[in-house]
Amino acid sequence: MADAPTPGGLSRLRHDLRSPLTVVVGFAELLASDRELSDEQRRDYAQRVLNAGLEIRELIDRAELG
Amino acid sequence: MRLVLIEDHQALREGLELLLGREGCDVVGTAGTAAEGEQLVDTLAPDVALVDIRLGEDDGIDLTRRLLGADPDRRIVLYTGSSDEELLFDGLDSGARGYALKDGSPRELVDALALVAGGGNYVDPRLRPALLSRRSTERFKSLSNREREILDLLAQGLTGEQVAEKLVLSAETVKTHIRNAMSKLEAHTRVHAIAIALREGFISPPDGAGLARG
Repeated sequence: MADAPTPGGLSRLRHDLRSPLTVVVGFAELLASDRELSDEQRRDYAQRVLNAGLEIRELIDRAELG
Repeated sequence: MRLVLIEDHQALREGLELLLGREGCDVVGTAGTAAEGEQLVDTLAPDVALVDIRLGEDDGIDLTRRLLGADPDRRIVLYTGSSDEELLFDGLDSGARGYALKDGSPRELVDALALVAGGGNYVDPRLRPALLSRRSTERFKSLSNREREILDLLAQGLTGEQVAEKLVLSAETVKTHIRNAMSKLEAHTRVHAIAIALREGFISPPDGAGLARG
């Protein structure tokens, strides 16, 4: 099992997670809103959510591996 | 409001450009490094710059110090995913007029940027526990009742002019009290003085959001 992250490493991880998380929340809110969006915009925003979600998963996987 | 956005995370930088643009913000330039950001702010002279605290190998707080060293009137909002207390006070020490968390919505961020672009100050309300966590010590000289009263009103969102009107004082007198309070608190800006006064328990936190026009 990997060692627990150091306080500095944890702070860095939290910061690194916030950036893609902000993308997920920002675009998911936009998609969930009642604003008029074209099909192209919906696809673009959903793709941004997906990419950011994959990045979060990768960051967590990397942290778990230590 | 003309904004320069300095953020090293490409997806967030591009996302913010789009999201803030949708909220009515005119993003005139974006940069992913401190050097590019410094050049953009020099060239474009935006109303406000949003600066990520961690810019890869660079440091957004150092960048803020350099930008304000060249022109102290520049309006900068630091942007971070961390609510770390030391980072918060380092950020406020740098002279930035705003401190926003990535937890906030795009609308909140635009409101904060507009406030700072208009001459006010902003500290994310989620940071109130950090501001209040270090209680009064002997480090700072005590504020006079008038100085506390004025900082209290600034913390509630009044401008210097509104404070003067409310207390039936001249604008110049209010400025002098603020300068004296800043000196006693070893603060570099009004928002820094409010943050220290809150932290040290000289004034009470206002109800509602953490906005302070200055």
